[in-house]
Amino acid sequence: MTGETDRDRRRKTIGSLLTQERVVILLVVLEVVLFGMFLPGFLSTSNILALLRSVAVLGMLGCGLAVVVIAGGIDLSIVAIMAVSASWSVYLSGQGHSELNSLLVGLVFAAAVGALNGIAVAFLEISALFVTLTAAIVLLGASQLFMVFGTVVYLPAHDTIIPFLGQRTFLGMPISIWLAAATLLLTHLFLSRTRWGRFTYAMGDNSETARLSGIPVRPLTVAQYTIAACVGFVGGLILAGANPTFSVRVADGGMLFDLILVVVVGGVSLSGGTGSVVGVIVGTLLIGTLLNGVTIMDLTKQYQDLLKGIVLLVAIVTDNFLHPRDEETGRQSDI
Amino acid sequence: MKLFKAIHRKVAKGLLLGASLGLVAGSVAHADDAQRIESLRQPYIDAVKGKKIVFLVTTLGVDLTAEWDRVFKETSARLGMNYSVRDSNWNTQAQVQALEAVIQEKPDAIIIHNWNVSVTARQIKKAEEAGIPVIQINQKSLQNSTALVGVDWTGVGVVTAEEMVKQCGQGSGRSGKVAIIEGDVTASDSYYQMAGVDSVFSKHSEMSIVANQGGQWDPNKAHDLAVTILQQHPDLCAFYGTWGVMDMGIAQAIKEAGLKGKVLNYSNDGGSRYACDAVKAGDITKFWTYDAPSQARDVMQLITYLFQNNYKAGTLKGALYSPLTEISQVGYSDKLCWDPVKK
Repeated sequence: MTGETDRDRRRKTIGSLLTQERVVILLVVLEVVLFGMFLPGFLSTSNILALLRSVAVLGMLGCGLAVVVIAGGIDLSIVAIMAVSASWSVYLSGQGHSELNSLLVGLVFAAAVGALNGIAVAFLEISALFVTLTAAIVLLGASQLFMVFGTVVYLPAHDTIIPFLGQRTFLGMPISIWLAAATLLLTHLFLSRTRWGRFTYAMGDNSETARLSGIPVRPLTVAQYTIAACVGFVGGLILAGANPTFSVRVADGGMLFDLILVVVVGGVSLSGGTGSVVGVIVGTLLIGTLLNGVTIMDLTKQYQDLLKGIVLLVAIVTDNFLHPRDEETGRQSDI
Repeated sequence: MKLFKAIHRKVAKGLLLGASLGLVAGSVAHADDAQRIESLRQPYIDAVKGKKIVFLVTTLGVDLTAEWDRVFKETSARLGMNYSVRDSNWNTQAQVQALEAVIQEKPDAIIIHNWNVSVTARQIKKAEEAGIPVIQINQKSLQNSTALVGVDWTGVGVVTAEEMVKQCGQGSGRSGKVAIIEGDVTASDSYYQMAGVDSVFSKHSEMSIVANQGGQWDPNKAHDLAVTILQQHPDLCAFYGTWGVMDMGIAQAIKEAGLKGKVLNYSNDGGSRYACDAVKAGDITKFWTYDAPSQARDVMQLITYLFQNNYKAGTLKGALYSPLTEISQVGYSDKLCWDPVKK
């Protein structure tokens, strides 16, 4: 490239060492050190477990979303699918149906919505942003009118599997953390060790080239959205099982913002083709540490939102500074 | 012939006697009827019949509001009133727009469950200026209107704080540390409950609020907050949550920390079945309910009274505060709660 100055080259060298993932890891370490120094009890095992548990579902959903985003899509309905399908299972079980059947109905429903999302994106070629945004709105409306008839469901006393997922521990660690760890590991293996994982990157990098190379782009897209929805369902069960009451409104709150933050901050580019599970892990830890710290400091939600926004901004600006866009890396679809 | 005449005379006499007796009896009965007409009844029926009432609600998705809606609907149907509901589904702007639209429709009364103290203030004023009486239920706007029917939130804050002083304050042997988890710090119930708490705690220096967080009406969020708060303050004396459904998350966190019964848990809401279950199980120490069906009945009674008096909006202002019922293990009864609308 002509006109490249020494400064540009230096920046690129630093850039190759400091990937966005590493920047975020540094931020997490910084947070942990600062909170550990100034907030008594922050580094206690029980607080760390509480911290991990509070973001376990975020990490799981982060995996589902990351796969879709790496493949060049986006799923804004994943939180709605999570809340609606899980609360429907709880509601049906509360209506006297067996817990197992209720779970099956919830799972099939989540998978069906995911598949429909995928079909609309892959075969009807509608923008993923519109498809999934609409799906989320429709789902939340339908859940109130035809499915759970409200926004709150009560965990039935006879349920065992759902509270097991949300409340029980194994070897001293909550089941939700084990499940999140398993999801992260499986997603990592899928993306880095399997042919389908490599196809996912190829699709996100250049969908047309991927198709011409013989990758079954359309069926794979449907599969990705379906898997993301199923991960959402399991995540929803963890949340629904954690307390005697569950509010479908988690889907209206800031969870989707947190989720996108987790994925983007960890280096999964919204233009597709890049990113890894490690990014999702550090993104999740960043959010978890931040939320835990500000709760201990007793800061209001407004401060929490402000801090989250600043962290996202810092991550994006750092990334842009270290990886300046040029004709080679810049793309029309950059957002 | 003679016989015939005699019979005829007798029959005629009998008829005459019968008729006069009948007349007397009839006039007595008539006098009774006149006294038996209750003079307010027909005007009442006429005044309410065909009147149009609109209920603007933040969401119908919770037991409390669904119960109000049930009572409004049933009462309106019984009295021949025209009732409709606009559900803004947790969206503040949707409620503002709905209220603007409803004012144009000129209903005979508006019932509104406000989102917060400020968002609909301008529209409430506009509605009353347009001659439509506005009844606010439970969540009060800064803009006063014909009536507020609902909870005296400041009073709830005061009774809860006084109970916390009694259980956690001087002489209790407990730490005096309490944590508060509000639904939303900008919601009017939070705004006034905290005013009530502050008014009590300002006289009790031994009491300290170690955490005050917004749980966003979400049991999971409240749970995560409570877990962290309990980590930081293992000697915490009590939690005060401002909405029962959300506070079940606090109860769960206390249970998981093995502190059930040690850390007290105070809560309030409309008092549907789960509230009683939670108190019975010891998950919530004391629950103050404001009995949702009675609140809805108060609203409808007030509205029918206004209609009978051809009320002009803007001439009256006042509150009909809902009495609080205390549910605890002392004197517990299943009857203190109501069963939510079956769906």
